[in-house]
Amino acid sequence: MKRLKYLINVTASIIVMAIAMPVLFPLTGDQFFTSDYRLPYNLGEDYFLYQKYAGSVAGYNTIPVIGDSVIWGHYTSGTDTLTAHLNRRQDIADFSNMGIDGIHPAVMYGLAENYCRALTNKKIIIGINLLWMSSPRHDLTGGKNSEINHRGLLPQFTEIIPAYNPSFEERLSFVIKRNTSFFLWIDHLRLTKFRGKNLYRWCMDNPGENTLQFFNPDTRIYELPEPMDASKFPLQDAQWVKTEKSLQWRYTLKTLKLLKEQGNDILAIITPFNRYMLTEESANQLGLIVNGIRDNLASEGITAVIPEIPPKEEFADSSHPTGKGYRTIAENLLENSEFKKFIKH
Amino acid sequence: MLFQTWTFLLFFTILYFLFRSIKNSTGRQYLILAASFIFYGWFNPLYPLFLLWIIAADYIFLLLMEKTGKRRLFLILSITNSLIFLSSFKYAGFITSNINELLVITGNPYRLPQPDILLPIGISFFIFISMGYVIDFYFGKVDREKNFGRHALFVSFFPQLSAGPIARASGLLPQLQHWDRGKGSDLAEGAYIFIRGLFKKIALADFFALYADKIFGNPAQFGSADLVLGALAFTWQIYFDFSGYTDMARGIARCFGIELMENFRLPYMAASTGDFWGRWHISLSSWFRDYLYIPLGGNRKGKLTESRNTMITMLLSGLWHGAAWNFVLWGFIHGALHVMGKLIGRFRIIKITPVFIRRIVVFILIVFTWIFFRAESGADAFSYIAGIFNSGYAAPSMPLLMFIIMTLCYLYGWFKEYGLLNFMEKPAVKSIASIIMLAWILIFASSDASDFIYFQF
Repeated sequence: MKRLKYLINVTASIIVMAIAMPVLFPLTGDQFFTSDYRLPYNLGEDYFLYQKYAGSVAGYNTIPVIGDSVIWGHYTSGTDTLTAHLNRRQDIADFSNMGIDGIHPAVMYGLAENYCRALTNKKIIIGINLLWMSSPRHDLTGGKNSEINHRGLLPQFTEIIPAYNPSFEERLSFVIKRNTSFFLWIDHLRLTKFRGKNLYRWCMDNPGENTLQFFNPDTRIYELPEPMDASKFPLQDAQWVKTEKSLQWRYTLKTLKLLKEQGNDILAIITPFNRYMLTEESANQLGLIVNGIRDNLASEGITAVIPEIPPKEEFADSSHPTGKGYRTIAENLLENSEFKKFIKH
Repeated sequence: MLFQTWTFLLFFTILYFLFRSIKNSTGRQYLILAASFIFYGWFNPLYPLFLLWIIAADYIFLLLMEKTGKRRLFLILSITNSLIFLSSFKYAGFITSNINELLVITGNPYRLPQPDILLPIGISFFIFISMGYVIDFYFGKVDREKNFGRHALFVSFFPQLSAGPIARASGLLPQLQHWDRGKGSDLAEGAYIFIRGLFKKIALADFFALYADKIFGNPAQFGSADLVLGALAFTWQIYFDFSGYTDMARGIARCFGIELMENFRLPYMAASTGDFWGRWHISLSSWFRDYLYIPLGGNRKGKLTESRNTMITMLLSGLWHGAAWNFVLWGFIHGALHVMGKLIGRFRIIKITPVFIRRIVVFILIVFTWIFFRAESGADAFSYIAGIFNSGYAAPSMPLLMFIIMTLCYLYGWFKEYGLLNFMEKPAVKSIASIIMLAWILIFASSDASDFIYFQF
């Protein structure tokens, strides 16, 4: 009987701990969801924080803009992103930067499915970056790729992705983790408080340091990467994956439909691709893909806005604008009738 | 399938509920038998074939021993089959490379091709389990299990399959023959033992491994303090790795109502090397004692024969651990220490030495022997030891937290040995300890599942 009591005690304590801890200590970092907030770079895999942010955005009268590093603003500070530039116009709606660096469409679907449930009956903008269709490798339809970001958000058991071939254990642990708030909270704790490392690894890397320093908040600041020199852009012949064969496009569409099913009103922005880096033939192919996507979305009842391509100097690489580029895109969007119609209060 | 993985948790959960739902004892046995083969095949789909070979061969040999009366003949055939099987997989590479080295020394240009053979996980364990059973039957200590399924289950019972404990037929078979569904209290006790093992592996062994791997990876780079601490880190790593595995295995078996034998009893509190082997990997050391040392004559034929028997037993024990000379050397050193310990044990000065001093001295000796176990070769081990005495002092790079944990582990051993921690057996204390251990694992330890050291044996 006493032993049974042990089992009950431990099980009950674990369940209470698993439920109570994320509720009692929802955010252990010093994050504040200000108007120009974006998920800190080093917390890019902190899905617990992202879920909290989504919940917070759901409660505000703002339009979330979901996307990858182009929406997040890889080459810019938080005050120079697309949403930040849109927010400078006080007379229009507020926008929330819900981009995550390195997130591609197949992963974005996992993000929306698992952590954007709070976003219902809202206007939502999705950034579509065609970089993910620029080669079979980017599209995840090429050979095995061990450098996939946010792999835990990929479909684990429902679809075979050619580039993704983890062990059963890895797949299972991802599924368990993303469905268990407690494990997400543990990750959040590690990322915000312990620099994303486990205590042991940190101790090994800092043998001379006082162990208590491990518990200090992470104060690292995101160092902006150096943009490419526009005068030296190499010309590329991108191996575009056709829309009908593209895994990334299929998942983009799935994400849009999912958010729509949640009662949201969706607008897609096909973020400008750096055509100055493409050969003529490749640029023509891109044009066909963009038109195809627009028609495809229209048939699904989703409006796609295609901003004008900013000048060459306003690109930092093949798909990311510089801060100035974002301003140009924002100005362009604010003149776009469909965009204006969508964001109208 | 490693115990500390989600895959195993899923496997266990499904299996446990199926096990509890089957009312028929035979049905439960076949369920666990099938599960054992799935568990083993998860590492490599070919592994169950090797296991099946040993199971089937020994079942037939046992049958023939009983039916024909030619017990000695079939005992020899069974042992020969097991040893050839073990040698083919485990020692073929070792034997070939040694023959090739001899050919080099003798100036012979011919070289044997180096075999590239798959070494099934836990091969030494299940072969010893089966071999021990055949020998026990030969000596009339146990009856033959007539049911092939139950015989197969005894050899392949999944908790002990990868790294023991090396079960005895007299202990495990009767439990399998009268297997009930297990009680809630079994699940509780099993869960506690499992959590303790999980903590030992993930929170302790894997932490010490980080430092031990760093130091043993390039010992020439470090000063004497680091070398000493590196040896100490490995001393604790191997203990927690192996005893953690054993605890998990025993915990899982206990959940199903089966009690596997104890494998460790505070080995670093041993007061002599003989005492150490009575506390470390008990299932293996008692196996060698019962099936090798005693049949060789044990201590019954004078001091010289006893010393010879000890040396043979320890050398083979070393070789059992791995097909490399450093393991043989490790066994030799243990044998030599044991023989010397017996010789000097008769002196009055040793007899009057307080036991706590003997415990400390034995602990230091054991730490040194682990250097031979961990090093890549005997030469590496000797240069490591030379480094301890010859390298200059430099501030060690062991993290303070690791040093504190290591000291606490040692103190825990002392307190436990002298019965000062008996209160920890109370259910309330176990509950609190379990919660703390799980929380520590979840928050501070690594989430990567690493292999167990003893899997390679």
